Amino acid sequence: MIEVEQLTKRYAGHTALRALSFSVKKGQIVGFLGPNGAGKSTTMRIMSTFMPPTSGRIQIAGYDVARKPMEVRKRIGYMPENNPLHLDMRVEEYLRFRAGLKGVSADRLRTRLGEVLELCDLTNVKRKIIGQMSKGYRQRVGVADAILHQPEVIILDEPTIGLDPHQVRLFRKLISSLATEHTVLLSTHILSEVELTCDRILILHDGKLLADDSKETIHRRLGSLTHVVAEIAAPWEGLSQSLEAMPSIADFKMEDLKHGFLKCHLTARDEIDIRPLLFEEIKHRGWTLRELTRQQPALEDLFVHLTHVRPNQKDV
Amino acid sequence: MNVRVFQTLLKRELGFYLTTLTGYVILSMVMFLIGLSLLTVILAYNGRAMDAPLTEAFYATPFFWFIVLLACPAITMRSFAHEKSTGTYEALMTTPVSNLQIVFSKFLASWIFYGLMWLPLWGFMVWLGQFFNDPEYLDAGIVGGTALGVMLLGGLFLAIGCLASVATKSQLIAAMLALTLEMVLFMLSFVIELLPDQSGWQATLFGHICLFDHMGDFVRGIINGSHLIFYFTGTGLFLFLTWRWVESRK
Repeated sequence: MIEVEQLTKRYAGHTALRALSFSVKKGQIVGFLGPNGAGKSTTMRIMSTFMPPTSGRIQIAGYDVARKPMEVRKRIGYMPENNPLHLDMRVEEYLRFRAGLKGVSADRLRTRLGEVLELCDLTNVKRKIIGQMSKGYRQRVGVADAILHQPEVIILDEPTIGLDPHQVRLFRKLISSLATEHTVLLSTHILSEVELTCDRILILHDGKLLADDSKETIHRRLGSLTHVVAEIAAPWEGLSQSLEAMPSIADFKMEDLKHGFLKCHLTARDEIDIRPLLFEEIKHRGWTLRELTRQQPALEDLFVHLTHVRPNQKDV
Repeated sequence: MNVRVFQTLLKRELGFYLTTLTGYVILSMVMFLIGLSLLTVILAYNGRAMDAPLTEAFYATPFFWFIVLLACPAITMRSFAHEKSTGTYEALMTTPVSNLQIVFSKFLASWIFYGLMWLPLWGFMVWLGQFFNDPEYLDAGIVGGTALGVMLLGGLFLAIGCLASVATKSQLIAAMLALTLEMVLFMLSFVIELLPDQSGWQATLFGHICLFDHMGDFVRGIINGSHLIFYFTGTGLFLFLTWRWVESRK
């Protein structure tokens, strides 16, 4: 559905995209992940035909975005960054206006408008002025606009920015419901969001693709970063020796807690679940165990691992 | 050109003028100035016989140029700059609408609004017409010529305003830029008077672009082909430049 080949975009003074290539199949929900300035919006703007690339090409539904922009525009629903809307218009009025621009026939619009309002849960507020609505509602108006003409591809640039957690959850549901009919590409710099919504994750950094994986592969990669925390009442030396002797433990750290307990942070080798092995070892030695938990790494850890950017710097 | 898409765009653009405060502020300011100018005319001719068409007397008041020079930038300043600053420009530019349609719809909407803005003047003319016995000073030809001149001049200034608006994200800068360009054109109209040699090519050139000459004819009901060519080409040129600016998005 989407073919991106060697996409490069240079602005005066800097290169935003460096030979980016990937393809997206029909019906996929693809998450574009990266810190601000990674090139997510630039890629989406080129896809939406708003900007031409410096070199390379993009094909959407078989049409080249640079050569056949009008054909591409008919087949995409694009929500730009910050979801710009005409704040002086009413919801229904705005959607009618946009449908007119997108060439939705009056006949088609009669049924389609109701469907879209229903799907985006806007039926009750269709007469409200957009400027007087909350961010969550506005975001839904933006999505309603993007899906209005039933495009094959939906491109959403940072759709959940500024939403509260409840709104984000509703939004995720909405996106998932779209995947049956459309191919969805969305960008974000919130890692948990792509993890929950997308089938496939593209990680972008400094205009280059760092990773292109299915959610499962990403999870497997994350598995290698999993670590286990255990609190054990045992002598320091003895515990240290037996942990070193266990082949499935790649690395460990210990710290002394009060009342004779030691806290161990353990990293497993490969993707082995070391918890049963550890439990058996402790039982065998006759030590006391009071906590044994596996800490799921967030995608954030993988992201940091890939980009070498500290989490608190990712927004810079 | 897809007519339905164009209608949608035009309706939206006009709707903005007629449903927001900006539009009504412009309308009331212009109405006030038109009223003031007619008051000036009435006071000037109070008890005296008319020696020129009423439209010419109106044109001779300082308010005419004041209205045109100030209202045009105020009308067009938002057309592109506002959409660029709010980001709706990007949403507009990614719908299957041609750039030419966008430019033309914005221009036409501003021109229609500009036309509406002058309606009170024609109302006053009709009302004052009741008191005229001599058609030499007020008839359909004179009013029609004046209306044509006002619309052509407005078209040119609004096209300049569109270009100024497409060049920036700030409405204020767009208005200032449009006003500056209009003032340049306005000032160039004085050059002909300053030329020592009134028969050279310079005189012909500056005579062609002298806005006062054009309006002076229009308000007397004289429609000159070369004036029409001047306004059509000028308006076309600025609209073309606006269109090229939209096309050159990088």
